[in-house]
Amino acid sequence: MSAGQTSRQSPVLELHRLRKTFKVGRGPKARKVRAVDDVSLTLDKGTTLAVVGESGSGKTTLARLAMSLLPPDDGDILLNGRNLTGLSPRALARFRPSMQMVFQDPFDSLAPWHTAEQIVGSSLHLRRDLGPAERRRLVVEVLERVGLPQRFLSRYPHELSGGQAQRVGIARAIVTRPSLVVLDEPTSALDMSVQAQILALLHELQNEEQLSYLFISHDLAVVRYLADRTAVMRRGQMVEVGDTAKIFDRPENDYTRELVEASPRVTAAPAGRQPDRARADGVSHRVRKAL
Amino acid sequence: MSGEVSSAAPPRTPRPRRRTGARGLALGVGILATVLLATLLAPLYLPFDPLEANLPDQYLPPGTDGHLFGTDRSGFDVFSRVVYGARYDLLIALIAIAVALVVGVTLGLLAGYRGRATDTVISRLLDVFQAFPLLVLAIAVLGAFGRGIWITGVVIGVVSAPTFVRLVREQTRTIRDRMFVEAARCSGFTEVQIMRRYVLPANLGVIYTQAATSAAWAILLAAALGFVGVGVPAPLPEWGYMISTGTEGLTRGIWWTSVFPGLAIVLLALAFTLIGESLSRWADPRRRRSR
Repeated sequence: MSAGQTSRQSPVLELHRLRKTFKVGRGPKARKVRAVDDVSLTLDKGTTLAVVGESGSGKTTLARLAMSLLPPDDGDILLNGRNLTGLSPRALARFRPSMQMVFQDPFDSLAPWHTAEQIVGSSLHLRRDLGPAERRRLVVEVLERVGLPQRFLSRYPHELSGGQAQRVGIARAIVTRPSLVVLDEPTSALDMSVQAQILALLHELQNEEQLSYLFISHDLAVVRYLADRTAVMRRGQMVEVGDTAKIFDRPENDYTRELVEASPRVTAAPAGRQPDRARADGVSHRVRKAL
Repeated sequence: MSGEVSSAAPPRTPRPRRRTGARGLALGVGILATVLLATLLAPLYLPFDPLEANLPDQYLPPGTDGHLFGTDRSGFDVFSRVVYGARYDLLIALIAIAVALVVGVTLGLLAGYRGRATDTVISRLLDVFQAFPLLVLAIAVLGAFGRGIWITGVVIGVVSAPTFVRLVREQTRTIRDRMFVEAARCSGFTEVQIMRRYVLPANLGVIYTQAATSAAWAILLAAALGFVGVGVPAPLPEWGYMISTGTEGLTRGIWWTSVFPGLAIVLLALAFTLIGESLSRWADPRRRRSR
């Protein structure tokens, strides 16, 4: 698994030969499911690595492994070169601010009884050096970055639209200035028009903050827009990984080809890196198609 | 935020805005405070000694010779005893609720959140415990440890705890897999902090409602225990005991000996319910009045 020719600095995240097996069922009918089977991946600073695959392919398990929310059965997870495998929850807590996650369902991921300020502020709870005023300033600042003015501070999740709720979720993730952000299908629960806004926001934040995204998705149009590199998963295994354009235009693996062909047609993009304009077209085309 | 009209999921059915319950809370607390003051200041104003029997004045109907609620078989002034007895019933109810809450909520949270072996152990122990007829168990324990206000309260609390365990366990199991719990983990909260900040609040609604019911029930159980002679020691004017002994004249038209303490229980139960309902409404921001 090559790190790719684009590598500029040391990788933010390295997954090395990860394995995770779940036991399904009980008693004699119990069987083992290999959710993640020998997967290795590298994510470079400031880039986006997409992990695509159908549901049940192990994408979400991979995301949870990458976030150290789940211990792998085997293999290593390196964040900025530090091996996090086998660390106790207490030891892991120190690394939590540098890895954050944005969830699929914005409402499910926000506690209903917390205001936007509390939700975003909760990410900073390990920062004991911050006074209440400073914390508030950081929260206000980051909410503005994601497009929510100060009046949103005291809003509860049920008082937000889907897009606004996801912006709060993104704010919570980036307020700690993480080096790794895992995006677990961050737009799939949103309306098409809102999807495009959220994707544009994620893209903008990445450019400004040099964020690194591990982007979990089954939506190839969105992947094409956001990802520099793409990894295709099937039944827990990595079937192909490479530059996004190459995966889409010249897939080597049969399954990848099937997947690309099955997805709604995206604008045929010429080989090589596309300017943002063309990427955005891909999405808007898809929006038009869906409507 | 133009264009963000709504989200696809979850469907956000507009809930009818209800009153915050501030009025109900005020009424409940008002009743409770009045009863508390009335019983604590009782020695200052009561016309008769609630502990002094006066056999010749047996079964005087309400209103005779200054006996507002009449007298009972031993010539006790029913009004004095109802007012004075409130302290015992309040104390028993409060002790019982405190014990039931601490024991029940803790075990329920542990069983529901930790799951697996913890859940199995707690649930099976509960099955065994609840297999006993609880009243008989309470009688046995009180018979062994002696009688008194405190021990009665504690025993009632312990037999009330299983309801809380089951309620909180069920609720917690649905909360455990919500994404905001995962998000809290990403923010570096410890499991105990997550239980306190993210799981317990989701339980407050049912806890408050059940606490109100259990408080009323505790008084009735205290009555039952008093009736079989293991509750509050006999001469003390505990309402349940008064009702139990007071009903013996009922067939001869002597209703006041049991009806007035009964009404007192209803009044306290009403106060507890009002408070519990308003608190449970307040626990859910979606049911609070919009600002």
